[in-house]
Amino acid sequence: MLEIGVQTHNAVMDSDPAAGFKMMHDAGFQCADFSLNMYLKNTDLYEERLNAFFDASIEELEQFFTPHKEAARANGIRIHQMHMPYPNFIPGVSDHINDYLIKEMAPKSMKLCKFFDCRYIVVHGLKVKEYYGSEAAEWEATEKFLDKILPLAKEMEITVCVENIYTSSGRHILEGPCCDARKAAARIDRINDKYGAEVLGFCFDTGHANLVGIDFEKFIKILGHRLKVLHIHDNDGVADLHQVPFTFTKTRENKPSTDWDGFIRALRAIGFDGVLNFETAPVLKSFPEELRPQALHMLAEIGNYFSSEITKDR
Amino acid sequence: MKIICNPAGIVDEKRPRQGLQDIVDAGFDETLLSTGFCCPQQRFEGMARERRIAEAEHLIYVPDHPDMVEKAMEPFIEAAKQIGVKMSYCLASFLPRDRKNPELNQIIVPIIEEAVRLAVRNGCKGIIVRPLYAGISVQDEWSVNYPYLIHLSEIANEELQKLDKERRETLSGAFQILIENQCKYQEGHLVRGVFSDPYEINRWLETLQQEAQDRDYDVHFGLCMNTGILSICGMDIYEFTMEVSRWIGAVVIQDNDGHVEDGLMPFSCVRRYGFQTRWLEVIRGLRSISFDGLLILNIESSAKHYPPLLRPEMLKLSKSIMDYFVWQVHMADAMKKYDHVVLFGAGNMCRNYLKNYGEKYPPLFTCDNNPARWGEDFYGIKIESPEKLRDLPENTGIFICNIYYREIEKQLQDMGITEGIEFFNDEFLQTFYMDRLRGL
Repeated sequence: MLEIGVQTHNAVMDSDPAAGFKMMHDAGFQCADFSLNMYLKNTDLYEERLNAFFDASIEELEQFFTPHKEAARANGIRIHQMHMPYPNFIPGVSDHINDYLIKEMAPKSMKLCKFFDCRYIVVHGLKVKEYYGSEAAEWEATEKFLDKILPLAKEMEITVCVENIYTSSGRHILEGPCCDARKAAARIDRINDKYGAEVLGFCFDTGHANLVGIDFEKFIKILGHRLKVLHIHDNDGVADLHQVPFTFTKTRENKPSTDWDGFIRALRAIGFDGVLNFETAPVLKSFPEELRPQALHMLAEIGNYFSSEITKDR
Repeated sequence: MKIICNPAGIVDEKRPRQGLQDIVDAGFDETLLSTGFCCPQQRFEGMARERRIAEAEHLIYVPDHPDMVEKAMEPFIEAAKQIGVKMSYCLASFLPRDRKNPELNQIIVPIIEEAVRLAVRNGCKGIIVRPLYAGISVQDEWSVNYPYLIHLSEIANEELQKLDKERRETLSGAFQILIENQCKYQEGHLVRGVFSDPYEINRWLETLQQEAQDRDYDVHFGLCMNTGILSICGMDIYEFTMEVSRWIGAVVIQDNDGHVEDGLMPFSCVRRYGFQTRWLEVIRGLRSISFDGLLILNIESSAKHYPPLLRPEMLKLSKSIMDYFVWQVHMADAMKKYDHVVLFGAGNMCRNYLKNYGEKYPPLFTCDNNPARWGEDFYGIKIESPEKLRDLPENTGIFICNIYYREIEKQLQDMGITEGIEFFNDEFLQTFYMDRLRGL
C-alpha cells in the first residue's frame, strides 16, 4: 500500500499543532504536506504586501516550527513534502519584494524543509511569458531562480519539484508554466545531470491539469520516474476549487468529469511508489467544524482506494 | 492570407441563397463547401427524430444515404455559383463530441468519403476533416485513424485521376487533407483529445505524408488549427503554433468561453477581466510563423442566434475583425513599404514600437503635441513638434503610436498630410518588455 498524505493548511494551527496532526492521524493519514506557503500568502504578495515572517533568522524560524515538528512526530505523521511560498517572482512590483523573495524567502524555505526532514519542496515556475513572449524565455527565468536554490537542495539532499500551474485570460484558466510534460522531463534530466544529484523533480497537480484539459494518463507516463510528489484534488473544470476527488459530475449519468481512471492507470504504469497526497485545504473549511474529521477520513479512504487500485498488480 | 467564412449558422439548408448573399455582401468572397449544410452534427443527435423531420421536409437524410451527399449539396453549390462566392476548400461533416458508440464511425466515414469526392469534383484545393473519435480509446486513436485517413487520400487521388487534364491543371499543387485538432468529451468536460498534442500531430502528419508520398498520391496532409478548440483545451496557442507550424494549412478563428464549444464572433466572449480566449497568443503565433494560409471564420453560434435582420451587420463586423487579424499578423509589412519611418506619440506605445521594431525599422524621430516634451530624448530618439512632419523625406510612413488614432489622423489631414499615415498597435505584440524583469 502507498502512504497517504494531506496538506496541513486548515488542519494544523500554530496555536495547537498537535490537535491538527492528531486529527490527520486519526483520519488515516501517514504523511503531511506542510503548507509553508500560508506564512507568506500569494494573495498578499500580489498586492505587494510583505509580512515579516521570513525576516526572522533561520534559528528563530526553526524555534517557531519546533512544536509543529514535534507534534507531527508524536502523532505518527511524517512531513513528506512542503510547499514553498509563491510566487517567487512578481512582474511589475518593486525590486525590493522580488529581492526579498529570492534572497530571504527561498533559502529559508529550503532550510525549513531540511529542518522538518522533508525530502521534497514544491515550487512554482515564474509567470512571465506574457512579457517575454515564449515559454522558453519564461523557463529560462525559472531556471535562473532554481539555480539559486538547487545548490542548497544538493547540499541538503532535498528534491525541488516544479508543479504544473496555470495562467488565465478573462475568467478562463489556461496552461501556465510546466504544463508540457516532454519539456519538463528533458529539463529535469538535464538539470539533475548538471548537479550530479536528483535536485529537481515534478509535482503533478491533478486539479490544475483538469482545468486546462491535460490528459492525465499521457502526461504522467511521459514524466515517469521524474514524478515525485502529487497534489491530488478535484474541480469543476472551471475554477481551482481544491475539492474532494469524484465530486464533480456534469451529466445525467453522474460520472466524474475528471479522469480519475486515467490517473490510476498512469500511476500504475509508471510504478509510482510515492505518497498519495491531497491538496484539499478548502474541504476542511467548507465542511462544518464538527464534520472535519469525517471529511478528512473520507479523503484518506479515497487515498486508500487509489492505493489499492494503483498497486493491485504488484 | 485568404479569409474564408464558414457558412455554418448563416446558410440555411432550405434556402441557401440569402445566407450566401449575406456572406458576399459582408465583403467575404469565399466560403467553405461544407457538407454540414446537408448533414450537420445535429443529424446524429436523436437520429430517429431527425430522420422523420427530413422525410417530412422532403430533405435527404444523409446518414442513411451517404451516396447522396452530392445531390443533397446541389442547392448550396448552385446558389454559390449564381452569387459568385468561391469555394476552394471543403469542410466534411462530423459527429457530435459526446457520441460514444463506435458504430457511428461506420456512418460518418462514408459521408466524409463522399465529401472528399465532392471536393475534388468541384475543383477544391483541399478538405478539412476531423479524425475519428466516437468510442475510440486513447490507445486505439492511431490504429483506427491511420487507415481511415490514408483511405481518404486514396479516394482523393482516385478522383483526381478522373479529372480531365484541363481541370487538373487548374488545381495548382497537391490536394490538401487538413486534419483538425480536437478536444474530447470527458463526461461533460471538454479536455484534450485525439490529435491535440502537438508532438503527436507532428508524428501523425509525418507518417501520413510519407505514406501518401510512397504511394505517389497527389495529396498533401496538413493541419487545420482550430483556435477555439485549443482555447477550450486550455492550451498555450503560441507554443502550439510554433511546434506544428510547418503543417498549418488553415486556421479556424472562433471564440468561446473556454468551456462550451461555441462558434462566437471573435473578441465577443469577454468577462470583467478580459477576453476568454487568449488572442494575444493567437496573433503572436501567427505573426511568428508569418502565416499566409487560410484564415477561416466560424461564427456558427453567434450567427444562428442573432436576430436575422441584424445578421448582415454582424457579418460585416465579422469581416472587419478578420481583416484586423490579417493586419495584426502582418503589421510589420506596413513598415516594409517605406524608406523611412517616423512615429507620432511618445508614450508606452512608442516605447513598445522601439523595443519590438526599433532596430529593424528605426524611426527618424517621434512627435508629440505637448511642447514641453519637444527636444526630449525618448529611448534613443528625439521628440519633435508635429510641425516637423511637414518636411519629411520622400516615402516616409507616419506611424501613429497612440490610441487616439482617429483624432491624430484628423490632425494630420488638417495639416494637409494625407499620404503615408499608418496605425501602430501594441496590444498584441510579441513581447511586453519591462526593464525591471531583466534582473532575473
